[in-house]
Amino acid sequence: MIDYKKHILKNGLRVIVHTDKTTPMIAVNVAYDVGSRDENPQKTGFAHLFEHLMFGGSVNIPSYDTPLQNVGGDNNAFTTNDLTNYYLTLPSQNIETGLWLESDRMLGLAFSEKGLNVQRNVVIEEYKQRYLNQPYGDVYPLVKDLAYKVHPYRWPTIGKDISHIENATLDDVKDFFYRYYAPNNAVLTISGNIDSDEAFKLATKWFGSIPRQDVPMRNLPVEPKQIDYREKRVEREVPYPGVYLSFHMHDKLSPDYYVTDLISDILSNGQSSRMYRNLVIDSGLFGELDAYISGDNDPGLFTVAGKLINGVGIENAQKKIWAELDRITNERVNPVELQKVINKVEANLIYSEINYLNKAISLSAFELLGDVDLINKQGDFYRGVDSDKLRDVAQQIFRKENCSTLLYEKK
Amino acid sequence: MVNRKLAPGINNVYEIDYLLPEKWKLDNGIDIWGINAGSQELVKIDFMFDAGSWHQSRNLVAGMTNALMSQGTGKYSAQQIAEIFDFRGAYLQLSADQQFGNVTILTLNKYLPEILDVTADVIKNPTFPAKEVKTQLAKKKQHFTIENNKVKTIAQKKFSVVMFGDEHPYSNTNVVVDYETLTRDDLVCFHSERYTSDNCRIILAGCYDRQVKELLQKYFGDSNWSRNGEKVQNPEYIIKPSMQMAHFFEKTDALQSAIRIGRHLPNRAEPNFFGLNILITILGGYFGSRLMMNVREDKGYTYGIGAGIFTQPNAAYLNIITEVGVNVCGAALDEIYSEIDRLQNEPVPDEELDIVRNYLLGETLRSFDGIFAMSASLKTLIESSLDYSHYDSFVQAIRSVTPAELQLLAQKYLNREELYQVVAGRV
Repeated sequence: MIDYKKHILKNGLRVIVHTDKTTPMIAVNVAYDVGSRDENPQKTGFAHLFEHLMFGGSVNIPSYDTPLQNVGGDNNAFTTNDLTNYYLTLPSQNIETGLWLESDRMLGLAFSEKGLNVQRNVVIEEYKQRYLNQPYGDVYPLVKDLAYKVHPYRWPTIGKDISHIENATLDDVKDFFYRYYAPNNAVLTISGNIDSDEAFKLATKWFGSIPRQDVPMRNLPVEPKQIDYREKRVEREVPYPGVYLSFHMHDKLSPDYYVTDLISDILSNGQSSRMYRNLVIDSGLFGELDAYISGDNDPGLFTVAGKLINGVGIENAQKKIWAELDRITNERVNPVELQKVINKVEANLIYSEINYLNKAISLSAFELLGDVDLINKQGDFYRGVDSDKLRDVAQQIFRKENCSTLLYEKK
Repeated sequence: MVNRKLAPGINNVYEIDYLLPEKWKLDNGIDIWGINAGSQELVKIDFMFDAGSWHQSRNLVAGMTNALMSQGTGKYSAQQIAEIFDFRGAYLQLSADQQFGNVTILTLNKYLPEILDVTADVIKNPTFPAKEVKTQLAKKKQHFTIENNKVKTIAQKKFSVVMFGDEHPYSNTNVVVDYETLTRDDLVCFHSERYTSDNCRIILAGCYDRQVKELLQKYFGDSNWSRNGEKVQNPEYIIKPSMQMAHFFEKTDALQSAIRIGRHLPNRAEPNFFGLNILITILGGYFGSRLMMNVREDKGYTYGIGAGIFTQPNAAYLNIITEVGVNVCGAALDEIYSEIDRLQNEPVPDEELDIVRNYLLGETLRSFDGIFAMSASLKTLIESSLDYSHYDSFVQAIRSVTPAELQLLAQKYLNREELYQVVAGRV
């Protein structure tokens, strides 16, 4: 159970405060309701490139990092399909420095050609490091491109193509900022060693005067229901072949999302899970095998990803994965096995309450999803899952015509 | 309206609350350190053994012995062990490094009796079933082969050999054939020699009471898993660094090259350690460091670059780490050396040093914030046979070090001709 208070400022900024006196620190987390799904298909990778530019100084403060480091602070940021999240932590007595920095870069950025040039190069190196210069690095973009035809989840957060990043102009960047970086399009969460009254007072002091802006309504194309099995084969210089099966699943506000999460746990979370036991250990077909959900707000993907042990045929490997999927589709999970994955989720929720920063990030994400109180309702959603429900959802998801398969063969 | 041009007042005076651990012994002599803190009803327990690659007689033995301890014991099969942990949402983590073999558990307190019962069997009575050994070796071999295709892995492995020589346990000389020739007997033998009560230390962190202490005594306090006074010899090794300073390993299809630059430095207990730590932080130890500001934030040659002092009980060394576009590899190396030269030739400006002081004080505060951080900081001390005055001395050094002292350290320890350089990829 995470206690929090929420208050909305006049300019539309949602402020959430969670007090945790066990730490001498405070986390300040600002989540903007813009991710790679909001990008123009011809200009992908923008939300993430923009995240890099947010560290280049703001209207009144030439350097973001220096004043923060000067008060013992640390910070970072990440961009997903759904949102862009900035966080910092600092000793509690220096909270105002954190709020000063975050509010100023919400107010306006110090745009420069030089800053844009450098960060374009940095992001291109990041693209190479993550996706091009690693064995299996391009799996994730290939899977998304195969599974989505219309919805913007079809491109990866870093961008569909390096050229989109290379061609980004300062005007594009400014346009993106004024469109999305507004108080009424963001959630500020303060967690750690601070009382809520004080936190709201300081949030109002630093963020209250930032003007509200017109933010475009999100109106994303809906991915049409997949009706045919899709398969793609690629050949790469890799030591072992890989198999990736992706299925469309429910959005994050659907109760079935939680059911699907438990299905992935039964199949592959922990060494007692079915796929690990049967396909990695007992039959020794795979060196690695995972089933996981993408965790997206809009309907995301359930993916089974495996790397084959040398000598195992790719057709046989697929067949064995399907046998596990068929089993969970056709047979009721026994109560002990279901209890196991629910217990695990419950324990993980308790472990996650240790860290004040994680709590701030989660509170912001649930608020952007639509309801911050979901953070305390998750446990009940998981506990409410029974074996009938599990089988129903498995039946909806694990159909051949809902599947996109990537066969990643060895050159 | 607030004045945004003016930074808010800052206050960098804070007490760092170490929360000193209590220490006691089990009846068989095992030392336990306890950090009683946190508001969640959970504990994390580390069992540390002198059972790293330092103590093995052939490659992989320490790591594979450690990894296979959970794959079947006298009382439980691998599957049963996994079920018991998973059903309770508890975690069993096995890891071995150059010096230590570690068994770590994280569990809610209410499950501790069952979890300790299994953990005791994992530590004392693993059976290393032949089938599980075979499967795990195949799995680890796959992981190893994939990692070996990455320029960063190639560079790091070569760097360790260049720095320590190929017979020293701190160098990584594992090859694929090691996974094919390791035998079950190697594991059984290593386990019986190394995973004994005389070779064990325990760190307990979280919310605990007397009952938890009694459970630890019950499951680990017996004399039945000692070597009865019979000593095991700890081998000794000599560091034999390469005679050649610069090394290049080509990977023809690389888009980025991985760079490692470093040298041996004084270790934690030696006089210049703290000053060097601050110096290397200025060079590459935080986001605002000189290497980050130059190579990433000004030139855009890389997604990230960092420098740090890596310490082991028997060695400490500088390691500058980055991956850069192959077309700018030469230029990136030039910039790295120019930043090193600058530390030798010019005193660090007071303003920059103050930022680093404040940043490091904040980091110190973080390293004692919460049970996981406190337990990790304690583990570092135990591994190096130090006490909490080590951290006091570091804080003292952070507050008092001068630009002149740092420049002298740079002149003494960062001479270009004494730095090893490894590049993997293309230039």
